[in-house]
Amino acid sequence: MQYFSHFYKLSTTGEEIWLDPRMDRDTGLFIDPFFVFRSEIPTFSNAKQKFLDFFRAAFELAHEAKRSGTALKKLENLLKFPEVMEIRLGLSVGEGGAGPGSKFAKACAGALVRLAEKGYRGLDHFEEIEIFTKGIGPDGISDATANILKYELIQYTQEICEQFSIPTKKFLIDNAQFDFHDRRWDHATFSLPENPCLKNKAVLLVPKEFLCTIHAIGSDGFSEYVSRNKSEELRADLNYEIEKSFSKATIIDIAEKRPEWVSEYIQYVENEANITPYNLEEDEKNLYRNTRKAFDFASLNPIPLSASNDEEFLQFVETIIQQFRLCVEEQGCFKLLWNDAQKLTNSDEAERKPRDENTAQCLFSSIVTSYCQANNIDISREVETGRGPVDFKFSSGYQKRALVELKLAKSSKLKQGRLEQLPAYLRAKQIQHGYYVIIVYRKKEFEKIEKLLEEAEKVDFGDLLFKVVTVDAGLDKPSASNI
Amino acid sequence: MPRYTIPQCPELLLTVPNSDPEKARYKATQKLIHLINENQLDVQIPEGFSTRQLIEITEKDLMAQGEDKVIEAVKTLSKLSASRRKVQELHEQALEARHQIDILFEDKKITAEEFEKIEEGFRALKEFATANLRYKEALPNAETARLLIDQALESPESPKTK
Repeated sequence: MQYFSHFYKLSTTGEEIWLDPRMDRDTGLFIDPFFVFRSEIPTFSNAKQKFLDFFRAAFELAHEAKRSGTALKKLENLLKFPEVMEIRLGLSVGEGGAGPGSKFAKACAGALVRLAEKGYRGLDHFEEIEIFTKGIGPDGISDATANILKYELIQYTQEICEQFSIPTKKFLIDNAQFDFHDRRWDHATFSLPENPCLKNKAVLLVPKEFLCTIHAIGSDGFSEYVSRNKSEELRADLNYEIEKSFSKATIIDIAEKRPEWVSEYIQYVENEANITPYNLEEDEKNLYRNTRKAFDFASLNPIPLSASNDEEFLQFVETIIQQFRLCVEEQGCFKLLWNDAQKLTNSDEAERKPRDENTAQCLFSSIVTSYCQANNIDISREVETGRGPVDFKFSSGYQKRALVELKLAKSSKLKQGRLEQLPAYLRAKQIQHGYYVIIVYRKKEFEKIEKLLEEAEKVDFGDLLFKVVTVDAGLDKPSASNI
Repeated sequence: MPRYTIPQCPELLLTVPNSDPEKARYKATQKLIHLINENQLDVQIPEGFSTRQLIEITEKDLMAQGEDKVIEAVKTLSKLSASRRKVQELHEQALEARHQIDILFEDKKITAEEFEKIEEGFRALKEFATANLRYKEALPNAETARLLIDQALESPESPKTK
């Protein structure tokens, strides 16, 4: 796990308007052209015009493509937007996503030709193509946007590099510029910062205000809009019953029969709907904030970890869990486990809602991952951490498996009677060390844990080790407890 | 293998193993930036330098000014050599054929076998005559070509004679 600012040792505050990207994998966010058009960042002031010009050129080809296979081929080439690995955004998990490539180009070209047949000559918001087309996902729209805006993103990154004196080197950037005269993409060289986790790839920084998880204009929004505003016409004219959500085929059918509704919907999104970029401070979908905080915590509180025998392994697991507890209880990370984290005060605990188990697991797994990576310890399936058995592989060659399961005290899954099967489960999985890390949000939840501990005492674990560790995430915490 | 250079450093020759021009240019640009990043090439290329800005160097571009003439001279000499060889090879056959023709002017009866030989001899005579004609035609041009080759073979160090 490595962030841009960390690698380049930047003194950033977190208040920067650009996303500090994780460089070893993609963050599940997308660029929304809708927010790009609204941006007041000078580097992107010409973005909307650039999109309009690009799609005007695409539509010219789409009109030619009605009669010419060569023009269709050229249109598909024009709309081939390779994944912009330099921005490290998207749906992929791990080493860069697959990218939409040819599939997206074919789907998009087909949609433009169909729209051209209906007389279209351009689109104000190209992302509305998604409403008319099957097979275009948010990754595709985001990649298309990043390709069209590549030159601006390069300039933007170079400005930041200058501001922070970040070293750069030359990179060959694919689809760096679009040649409007020849209607083709140019690959070009630019001085950019290097991504140490991706061979021969630069880093391109993206303003936070461009980011979303769902595009402002898209088929989901359109479906909701017509359900809410066009119910009578849908029933009477198009013979559709109002459903909670329409299938994609239905959405395409409605959009093709009533293109004026698509225009109305876009007008509504532009003028009335309150759509904002993804809030990274709240990070409702656990895509960035908690992982980042965990990484920062581990960087600020380094601990040398290793194990070459069972005793050291025990020490290792307990140290990591203790670090998690320290992070939550004493370093303010409990706030990350509540909604509206930034506005929390001690007095309004009753009105605040704790976040779900996934949020806590995400924070916990990020702490484990950060410490393991800092100490060159391989762990099996990072995403599973906090939800079951984890294989740890140390540089000494020693390997061991432990059950480290994180649960919320308030969870209905933390019921009595479940511990009885645990020894058999641990043995079946060849695990000697089992830990329940339980997050407590409110004082009354401690009673539940007392009962769980009473139950644990009755269970015969034999030679197995089983421990329950509580972590107090309450807003007015008593002193830390390890029961 | 396509070769490219850049205006900023014309002496640089980037050779890449690819027949597709787009891919070749891409590879050559990658090579170029590798050289720059590794400090093996001290040139400044402008920001946004595109793969299309590489200058392709063809075989013809690499030829010396008089190279065309040398190639032509070698072709001429080669033609002379081929026709001379042919003339030599066919000479005996032609003499034999010439001897066969005399039979036609004698009083004795000519057998079918002899007729066959005589007709074959005509073919050999024709081929010999053509080859000889080609040789004679090639000779003056080959003289000039020989002089040109001599000039081309002159060592740069050898003293010039007046």
